[in-house]
Amino acid sequence: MTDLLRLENLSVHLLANHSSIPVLQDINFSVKEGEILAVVGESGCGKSLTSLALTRLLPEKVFSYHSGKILFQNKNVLEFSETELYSLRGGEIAYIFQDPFTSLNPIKKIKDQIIEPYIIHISPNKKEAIEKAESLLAKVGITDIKDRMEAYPGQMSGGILQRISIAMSLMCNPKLLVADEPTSALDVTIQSQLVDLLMEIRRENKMSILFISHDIGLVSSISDRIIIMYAGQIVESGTVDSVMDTPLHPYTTALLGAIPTIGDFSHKRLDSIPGIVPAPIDFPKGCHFHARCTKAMDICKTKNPLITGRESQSVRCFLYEGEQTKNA
Amino acid sequence: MLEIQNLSTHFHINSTKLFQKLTLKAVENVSFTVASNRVVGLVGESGCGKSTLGKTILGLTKSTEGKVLYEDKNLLTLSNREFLPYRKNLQIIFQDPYSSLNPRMTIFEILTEGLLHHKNISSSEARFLSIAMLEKVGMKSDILERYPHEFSGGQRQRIAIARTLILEPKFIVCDEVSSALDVSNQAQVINLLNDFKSSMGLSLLFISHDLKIVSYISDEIAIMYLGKIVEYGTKSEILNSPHHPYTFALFSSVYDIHNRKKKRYVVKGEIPGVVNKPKGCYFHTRCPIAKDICKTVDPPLKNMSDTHKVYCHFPGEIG
Repeated sequence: MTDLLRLENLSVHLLANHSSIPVLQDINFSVKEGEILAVVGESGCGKSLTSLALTRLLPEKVFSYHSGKILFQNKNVLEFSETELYSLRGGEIAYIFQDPFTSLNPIKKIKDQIIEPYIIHISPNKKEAIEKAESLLAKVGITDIKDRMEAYPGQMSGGILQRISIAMSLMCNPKLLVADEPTSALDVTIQSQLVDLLMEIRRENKMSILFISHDIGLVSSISDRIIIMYAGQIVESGTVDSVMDTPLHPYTTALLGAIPTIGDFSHKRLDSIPGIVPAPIDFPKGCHFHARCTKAMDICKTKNPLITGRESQSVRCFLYEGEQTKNA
Repeated sequence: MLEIQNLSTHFHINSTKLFQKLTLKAVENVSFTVASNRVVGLVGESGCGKSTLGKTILGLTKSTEGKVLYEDKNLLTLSNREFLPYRKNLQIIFQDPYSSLNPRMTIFEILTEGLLHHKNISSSEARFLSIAMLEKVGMKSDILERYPHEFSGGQRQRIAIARTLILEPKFIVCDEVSSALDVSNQAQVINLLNDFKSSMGLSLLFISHDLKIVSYISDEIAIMYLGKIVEYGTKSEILNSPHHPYTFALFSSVYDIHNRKKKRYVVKGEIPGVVNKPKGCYFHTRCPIAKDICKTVDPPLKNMSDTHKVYCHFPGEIG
């Protein structure tokens, strides 16, 4: 499989008070054609920033793309002109956001907002756009389509609105769908319905999905590969099976231990991680996780570990630095 | 220790039509008991009446009918003044620690407000108790003069827990206490509540939509759908042999790290509105095994065992 999207050493800085604070550091990953890549982490770890950085949606007055490359189909998005970006966003890369109540425009009819990407990116023919919208709404399981098209977002439930957002993101047959916590605001039975729907659409359209979530259980059930982020860095990545069955990074291990398993009657204590995720301005020297890590060594306080490992699983931790030389 | 009998809470809301009032039945005919030193988990999707039930039990929302028996007294018929002595024993912890702590009070004031009200103690004794309590919840004792905004969500929730536990209550309603927190902080809060349950002999009504957390902490589990409890039983009864199709669907929709390829069972359709609930069994519009009787007749209570109760015409036929 070829790489549809590849991030090479991407670093993004936040510009504030004449200083520049790194919020994303050395982000390296690729999304292959037709695969689902999951990005997981606690709030404030940089998941959503990464997703917005892909199409340069971060306001460039406040954020600077400090170094690295974002390669989409081997072209560097950081060198794109405004017009090229315009056709990328919503056209080849589409987004679904967490909260359908705020991501849809409350004062526009569904009809008018759902056809917008089609009119902009594909053809100004309104009739064609409406036909396409209706067929997509049917596919995402919306009933009474004619009525829904004339309604406003406030008249519908979260589950229905999120289905509409999914239909809207598919209007231009995107190659990559960025789903940023698409089911977190919804009830569990509705969540299951939408996850199944996304999987079905991916099979039919053969698109890639970058699935961002804090719910490790959910993403590990649907993804091919997974990335664990902590404080602006990728700490571990690899295939779902290897990361879930043999987590290497102390943060991954702790995160997995903090989630109870249904049907476990042993009453063993949950692992908890002392302290909190630091804000970007407080990112510590050395490994970002050392202050909360149970296995921290002296070197962790001063030097930031590099990513080591293989394609199937790699980790940013000094505990495994030796193994890299062995493998190499 | 706490017995809830046929409890209902209805709200009267304005309709779009002039002079017409609609009745929103938030909680309907709920009965269960919370034994001492037990955790009852209450699960259900948003809008099903979980929080209203929790508040009604403590008299914070006015009930329409039913009884809440505590020490052989019906709490719901007490006046505010008569209820006061019971408040110390019956407490609540809220979901959002950003809005449940008064931003203009210091941590000391927050921790001791209830204490000074309920117990006849001096300020220095209160300070001593506060420091001891903060240490128990894993916070430093030198934070007494600081304000809530200086703390993170997880720390605030621990302060909220300390404020409740300092009164040495017997029963606490925990209303989505870990939902606003990240996974790692969530585990701290759950461990903390579990520890206090054993050391202080607490009973909890643990309200949450997070099935993993509920099934971890609870001894008994109640499942609520559109204001009614549809199934109630011990943890192992609910987890190992769910008899209501909704319970089955809820637990089947959980994504589990250790069982990634499990076959899930997905119910169709949306949750109906709470004002215009379906006739008959409320779940029939989404139920895969619904028959004609479900559309018209309220499902009766069926006892599967002494502890396991189901409201369904065809219990156990799913799976």
